[in-house]
Amino acid sequence: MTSELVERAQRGDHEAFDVLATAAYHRLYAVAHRILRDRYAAEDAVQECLVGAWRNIRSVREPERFEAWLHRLLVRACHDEVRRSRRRPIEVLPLGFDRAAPIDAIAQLVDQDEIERAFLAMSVEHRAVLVLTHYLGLPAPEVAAILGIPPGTVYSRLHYGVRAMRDALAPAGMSLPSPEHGR
Amino acid sequence: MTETTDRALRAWLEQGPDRGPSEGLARALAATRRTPQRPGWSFPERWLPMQLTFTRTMNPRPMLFVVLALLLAAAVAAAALWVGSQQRRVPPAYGLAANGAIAFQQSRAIALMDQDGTNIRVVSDPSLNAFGPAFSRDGTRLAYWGRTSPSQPLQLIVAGDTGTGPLDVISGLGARRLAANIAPAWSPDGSELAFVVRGDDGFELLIARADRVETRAVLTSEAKLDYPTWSPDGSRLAMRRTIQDGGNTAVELLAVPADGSSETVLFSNPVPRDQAILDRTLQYFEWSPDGERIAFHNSAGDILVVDMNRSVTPIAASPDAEVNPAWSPDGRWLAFFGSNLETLVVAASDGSSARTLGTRLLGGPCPLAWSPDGTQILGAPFTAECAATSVNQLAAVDVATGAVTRLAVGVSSSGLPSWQRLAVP
Repeated sequence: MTSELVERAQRGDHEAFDVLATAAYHRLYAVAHRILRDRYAAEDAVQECLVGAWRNIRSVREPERFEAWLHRLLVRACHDEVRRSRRRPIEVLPLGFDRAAPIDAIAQLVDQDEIERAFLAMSVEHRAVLVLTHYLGLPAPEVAAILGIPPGTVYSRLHYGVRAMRDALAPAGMSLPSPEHGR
Repeated sequence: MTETTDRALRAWLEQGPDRGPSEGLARALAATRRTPQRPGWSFPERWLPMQLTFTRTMNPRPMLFVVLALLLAAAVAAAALWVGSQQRRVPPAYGLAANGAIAFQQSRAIALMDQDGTNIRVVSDPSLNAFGPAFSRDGTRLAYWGRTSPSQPLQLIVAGDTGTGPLDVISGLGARRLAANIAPAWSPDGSELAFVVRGDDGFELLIARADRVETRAVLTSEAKLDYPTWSPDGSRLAMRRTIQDGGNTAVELLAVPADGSSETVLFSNPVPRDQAILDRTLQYFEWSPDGERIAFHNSAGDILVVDMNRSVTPIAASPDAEVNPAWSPDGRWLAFFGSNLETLVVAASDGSSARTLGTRLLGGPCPLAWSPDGTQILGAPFTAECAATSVNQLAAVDVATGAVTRLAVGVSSSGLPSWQRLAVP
């Protein structure tokens, strides 16, 4: 079904592309939001991704790999978004204060903020590997195919990403444990 | 990586929205509708073989290759000739040109009309509240601002001169971040657009590429910046800066290189708090077409010209107030309002040979714009005075006779019209 829609979109069928875009939109937004940690930037990145997909859809030679191709465009759009929107305020997710004692909630807020800072200190490429692996649950070869990098690079980015977060969190007494070496 | 780390990261990443805003989807789909597809042949993937190594199985035939190469060369030459013959002639960025369409904001849309006020057609996306149209200096493209609703982020759209092929070069500007609802300023070569936003720490002069999504910050200021305008050679921008210091206000005419590396205050105008003309002091300044000088009016209502060495020359400094100077396209004349803002005057660029075209021709001291051919002066009902007295109507005054041609009505009070420049036939 997806392949047929992609082929129709390649022939200029807007309705077919709308179906593909609508099906992918929320998933793309969720991924972009997790990479960028900002709702407006995520919205812009998804829009740029979809516009790029429509514009370049005739370059797709394997319609069954459309969604992976879309994710690659999305990561590229996130990269562009970070490059040009450094001045946007970082969105901090609201916490459920009603579900914890106030002192715990404050501690949790500090922790969340530290995680956020550590995550945003990483490059988009590293964030993308973490999100695709740990949020979407994709295996390393699939992540490698999406990002156009060797699987070994995916492993090294995973390793570096977790280590960078752990190093950043250590002074605050946070509890993300050290990753094992030599995965 | 340990399981604990996996779980911790996963749990943290799980927080956050699983669904995007539905209006975001609608906007994205609308943006794709405005975007043309790249033709398949333009992708290298279509031309590169899947298998890059192969074994030759037959002998080459040199004559066949020569014939094919000649045919290919002939086809390329024919295509180049055809493209060359189809290319549109464009006018120089400055100097006299032929008159094209006039772009203006009507209600919530950008419309074009012919120079006699007929043939009004809406060219902006109907789903957008659009304002601030500006033709590029060569008349081939039209830029304007738009947003789907007042609470939504602004988009900066660059389209063809009839609104075709719109491209969002900025799509996420917060609704309150544009410093003034005026058109972006095209660079003389049409590659960039300048505008001012209100940031968290003050005001920022930004420059956006006109052909792709790429923006750079040029200048940051705690004081208010507005009306950025490119010099005709594209090397710098002039703008107004308003500095509030306690009860004192100073309005400055500022020039900065296009890379923002330094700044020069060309003119500083301290303004008493109760001075009535404060809001418009230095508002409608304009570079001379040769880029040597800038004409403006000060808070006392004098028309002045300043050069890049900060040397100021009065052009009209009578006891009456004179405002809103505008250079003719050839740089020989300056039009402005005189006699307490009621008469429309045209004088030589040194202030001599002043001639009154008429009194209250345009209703009030509107900003003025010359037609590209230098025969008419467009009055734009940008100010409250104009909107009140001329029923929100664009009008053009014939420079030779003072005759007034009423153009479109219902023009919005924000956004200056822009007159398209065309190559002289």
